[in-house]
Amino acid sequence: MDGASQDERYASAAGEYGPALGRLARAYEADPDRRRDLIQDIHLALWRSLAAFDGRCSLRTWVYRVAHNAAASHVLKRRRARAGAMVALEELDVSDGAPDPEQVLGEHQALQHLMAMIRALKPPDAQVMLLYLEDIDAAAIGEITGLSAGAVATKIHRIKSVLAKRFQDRGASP
Amino acid sequence: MSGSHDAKTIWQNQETEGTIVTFEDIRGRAAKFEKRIRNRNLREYIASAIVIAVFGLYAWFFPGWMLKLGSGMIVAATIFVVWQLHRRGRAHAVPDGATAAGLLAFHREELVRQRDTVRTVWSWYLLPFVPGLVLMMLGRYFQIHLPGRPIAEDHLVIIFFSIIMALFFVIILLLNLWGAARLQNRIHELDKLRAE
Repeated sequence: MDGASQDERYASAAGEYGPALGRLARAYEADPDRRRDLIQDIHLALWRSLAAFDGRCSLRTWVYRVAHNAAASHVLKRRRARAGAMVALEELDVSDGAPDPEQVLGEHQALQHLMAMIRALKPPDAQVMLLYLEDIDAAAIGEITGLSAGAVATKIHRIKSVLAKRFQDRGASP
Repeated sequence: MSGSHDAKTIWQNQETEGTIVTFEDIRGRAAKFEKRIRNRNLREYIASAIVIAVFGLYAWFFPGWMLKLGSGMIVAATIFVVWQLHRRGRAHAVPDGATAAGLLAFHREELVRQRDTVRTVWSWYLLPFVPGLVLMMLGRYFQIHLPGRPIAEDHLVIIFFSIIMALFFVIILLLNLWGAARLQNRIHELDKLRAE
């Protein structure tokens, strides 16, 4: 652990992971006003938490844990009445909501499709999917989420299947 | 190109609002949050202080040992309830750096704690006030009567007031049991969210 102050550590973390935190907030909250609140909550949680950061895990792991916790807490408060409607990765229908095989999705539409999928997932699975989309490797996803290597591998395999099915025609078309 | 690779590219290249969060924003938000907690605590202390002061004066000035002792018992009950509120009612902060599974477990523990707090409200919030209030009512019934009002009429007023007070207690109890049932529903909802 270096001797950097809480503010310096926060500035460094926010600088490096700010865009990823913005994408995370976007995935968890569709409403722009509530999303601005969520972003501020995430940053506040991060700034506060860095006073207790002891360097036992990497800064990246810490930032993602704190950010996902703040976002999941936001979801649990906001969506608790609809919790029954959320699904696990294993329950996600591969073809449900998938575009017509002949149709090539525009980027905006594809992004909306991804967001809808993430928002339909239960928080732990949404977290794995978001980390996967951020290109975090399986070992780091395990460290961030606390899931076993086997569980992460299973979930990533499932995510790949779903994404392959739903985005199969993008880039493959002439 | 694979679907998942494509999805990653789209995901990482998306445009975000670029919301800038400054240190002033963070400190302002932290100060607002702490002020809200401070004000809530202050309201609790002021309300308790008022009850303690009023019943302390009753204990001092009211005639008859029953009214005096009853008032003193209500002061003691208020202190006990404030202590219980501190012990049971405080929400805990989300643990820093907890994993996703740890976070859900934390939220569940918090909901269970809140549910148990409201479910047992009769024992730590209502019951402590009962002996003092009963003693005060008995004191009014047997020892002290309002001047200028016939005793029979005064007794009726005391009985009527006692019934209203009992109903008030029952309503508080029912509201809390209803609250406990809602918290139990949230616990069920949370259990559904635990993927593994």
